[in-house]
Amino acid sequence: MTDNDTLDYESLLVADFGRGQSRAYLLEQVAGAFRFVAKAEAPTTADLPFEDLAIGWAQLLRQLEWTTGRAISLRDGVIQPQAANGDGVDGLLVCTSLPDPVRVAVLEAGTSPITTPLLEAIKRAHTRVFHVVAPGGRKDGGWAAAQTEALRQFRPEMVILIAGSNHAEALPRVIQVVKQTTVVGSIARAVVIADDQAQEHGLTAFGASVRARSISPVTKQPAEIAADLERELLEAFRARASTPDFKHIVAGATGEILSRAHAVDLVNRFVARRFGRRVVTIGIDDGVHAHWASPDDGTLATIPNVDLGAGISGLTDRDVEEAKTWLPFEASTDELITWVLNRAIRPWTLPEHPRDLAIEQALTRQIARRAIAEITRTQPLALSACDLVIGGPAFARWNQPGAAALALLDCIDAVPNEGVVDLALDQDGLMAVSGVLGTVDPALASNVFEYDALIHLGSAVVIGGSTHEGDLACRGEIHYESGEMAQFSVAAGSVEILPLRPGETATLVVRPERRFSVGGNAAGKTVTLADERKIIGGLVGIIIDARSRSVANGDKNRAQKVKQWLDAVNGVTPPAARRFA
Amino acid sequence: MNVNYPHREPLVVRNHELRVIRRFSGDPEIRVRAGERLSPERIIARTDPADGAVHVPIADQLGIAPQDVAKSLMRPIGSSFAAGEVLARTRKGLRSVVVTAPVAGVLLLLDEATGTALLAPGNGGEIPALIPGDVEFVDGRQAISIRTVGARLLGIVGLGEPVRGPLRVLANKPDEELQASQVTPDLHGAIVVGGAWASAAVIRQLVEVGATGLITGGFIEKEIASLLPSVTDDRLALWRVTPGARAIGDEYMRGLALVATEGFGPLPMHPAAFALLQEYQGREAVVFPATRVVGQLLRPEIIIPEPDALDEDGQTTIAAYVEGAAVRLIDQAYLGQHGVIAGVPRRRQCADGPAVDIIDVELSNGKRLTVPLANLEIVA
Repeated sequence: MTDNDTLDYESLLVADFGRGQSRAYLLEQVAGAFRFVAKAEAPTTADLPFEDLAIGWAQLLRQLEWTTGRAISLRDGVIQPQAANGDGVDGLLVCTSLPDPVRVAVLEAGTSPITTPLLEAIKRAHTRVFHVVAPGGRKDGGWAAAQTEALRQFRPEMVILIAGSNHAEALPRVIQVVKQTTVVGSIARAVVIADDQAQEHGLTAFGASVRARSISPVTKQPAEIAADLERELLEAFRARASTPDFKHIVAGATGEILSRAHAVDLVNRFVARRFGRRVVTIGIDDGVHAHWASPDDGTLATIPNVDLGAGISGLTDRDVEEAKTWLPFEASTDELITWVLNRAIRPWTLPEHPRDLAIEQALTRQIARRAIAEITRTQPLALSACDLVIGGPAFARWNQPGAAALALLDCIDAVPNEGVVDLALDQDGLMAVSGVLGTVDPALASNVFEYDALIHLGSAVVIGGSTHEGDLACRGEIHYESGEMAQFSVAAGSVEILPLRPGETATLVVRPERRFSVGGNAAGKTVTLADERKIIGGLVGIIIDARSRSVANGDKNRAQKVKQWLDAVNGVTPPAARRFA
Repeated sequence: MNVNYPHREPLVVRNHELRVIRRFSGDPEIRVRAGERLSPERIIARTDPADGAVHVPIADQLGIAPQDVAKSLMRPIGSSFAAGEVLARTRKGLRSVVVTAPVAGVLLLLDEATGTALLAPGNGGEIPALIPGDVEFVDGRQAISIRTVGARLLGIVGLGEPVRGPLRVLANKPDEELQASQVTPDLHGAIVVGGAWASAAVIRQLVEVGATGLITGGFIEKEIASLLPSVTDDRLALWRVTPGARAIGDEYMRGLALVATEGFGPLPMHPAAFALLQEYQGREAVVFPATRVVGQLLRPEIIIPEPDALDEDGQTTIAAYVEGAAVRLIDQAYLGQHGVIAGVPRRRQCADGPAVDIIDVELSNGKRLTVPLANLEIVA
């Protein structure tokens, strides 16, 4: 990228409309680079009592104008292009998670190469997916009845029926489910991906009330079919978003309107390719979204109906029960259920009290772990290969970097192969902004991401293996670039912090005990993190995590242990090492 | 969504201009026109009875084959049943097994393939206005806006169908638990005001005596859940809006409208809310309990209409963060506490963290707190 590539846009405004909160970002050329300048955030006004998105949008623009001291809008909209006096912007870009996700059911009979790319494509298009594979054996075991009931409750708006190879036993079951589900009346469209008789049977099953069409897997490649359906669903998403007030705001917008999760996914993949990282990004905002990418692969897991706002009641009581594992105090399930229900009816409230913050942090882990579990279902080795974990704005709003770092480690809950994982926060939601910007100008998006998007929390060195709690897990020393050196030792089952300021680098030598290892290295092998693998400091410092995996496994002193971990990362207890020359 | 949704008005108002949106599901036949004056009994729409019908899985509950269900019915299809009346009965050895009607209504049909009966609640799909007022506009077949004048209290969570009846305040103080000894047969048809909360046993007693509604400060989740059919093992399932459902618990709660004014837990009712209900003791009130916090927002409302004031202009007010305004705190740590605004809104920036709009509040116990605007509601 050269500076000349980025001169077309002097400034850009990016709107991000969410169901609870909306945000506006001002980006501008600053000293030859495209930078994030200001952000405004306010409640979305699409619902009652306002029922007009434009009211909140006007408020966002006023906030931006007040912050930057320049005019951005006139009565009839955003001033475009930017005037000589600096007023206005050169373009408006939009992403949104406002519309309800389209509910898509994927019913599979037999095995088909289409399923994997199709599911990936559907998830990018702001959808809720119900995916089942019909059993191929002779005995049904009540499968059709159970799936019919579940599917009726899901109320699919679109059904995709895939008949792959060896569908002889499974297809009649899928057909039965389809026939019994169409009576609910929620299905508007259907696609049958099959050949010959299976295609005919599939189309007939939907009846006359459903707009059904067929695609032959012989004439089209799987990727082509997936792309077609993704396009169709994206159109449905955009049509659903296009309320009159939304259309009015985006009338002068540049580029295509993306869903927030899709925009973040684009950047997540960019980070993996550009920096050769294996990265996981977790966003909890209008649903929970976990993105994983390596330099040559990537996937997205999305659960649109579970989050920390109104969607918190999307958690099951079992999730809530398990959330006790992450609390630094004893709490009853009844108390937590009451907490969840009160949050669900007043989703906009902000936790201020330490107890509320701790409960929100515990539930955040449960929510994120659900999405992460989806990732591991399709990419079983994703987490152990991961070397960068990014938390979205939900992790930043606690204003406790240490707690955020620990939450991210607990969400991943794996010993990384390399032993080290970097932790970062996308505090302002700039990954979504970069994603939308990337559809117009990838170079500008790269600028914004590299300069402004992430706050580095620190690196975590994860010690694998386990013996009795309190036994020595590792010793080591840290050599600062200033020439200072500090020694440390970490006990099994604990978390310790080594101070290292943001941007500062250090060489770390870790000597694990006989039954412990640094990540996937051999047990007892000393690992030196130097040169290219040099450790970079962050808001928290370096975390030496010697807890046995899975971290979710609780025991009788669990609350006390969680408190110790939180005290360590939040700086309540002194760090494991003191710097001395 | 915004604080004080969905009206931008304080939670407690008197002699006020009110707009009630009656939303309908399905494809109803609208029976009124814009400009028409409505009495509470006036039928405003008629829906297909099957739309709101309750599915009663008789074969499952009796443990018999679906084709045998017809023989076990107490009365033929088309008959009316009272809530709790025996719908079907069979013998299991020496004992009788029965299925009762979960709601008063008409037995519409019996699906012999599954052994499930359809019971249409109430009066066969006819929807009365419940509230006196003037039809402002008719939004196709979806909704009707009714303008009325009166007092209104906004709740926060509710279950059940809209009901009408005289207000009966049983609690002496807003923090009292409603006791079984307070439930008497003369509560038939009444909307009962408890204090902080009521147990499942007390609520069952209210159903038995024929009360139409119950207003308390809080809901105890376990108590409410024990009243409802256990359709799932997940305790949170009841409180989700499922696809296609109009409101929280839409398909579960029948027979009694329940409203909590403060939230979940044994929470005392706000004194201003309690005072309003006491003031209108014995007056005809209407409870709209539907609650929905995603998509089309709905919040429970208790309205005491003033039919004689319909030809006059009521007051109009907007909830505003002004000094002296009565507020309640709604974040979990302070839920149930109340006070007055003691300053003007300002912005707090925590280091590099997010900016938060905050305000000072003087609590009723004299303590002064600085709280985010998001964590309070303007009561009056």
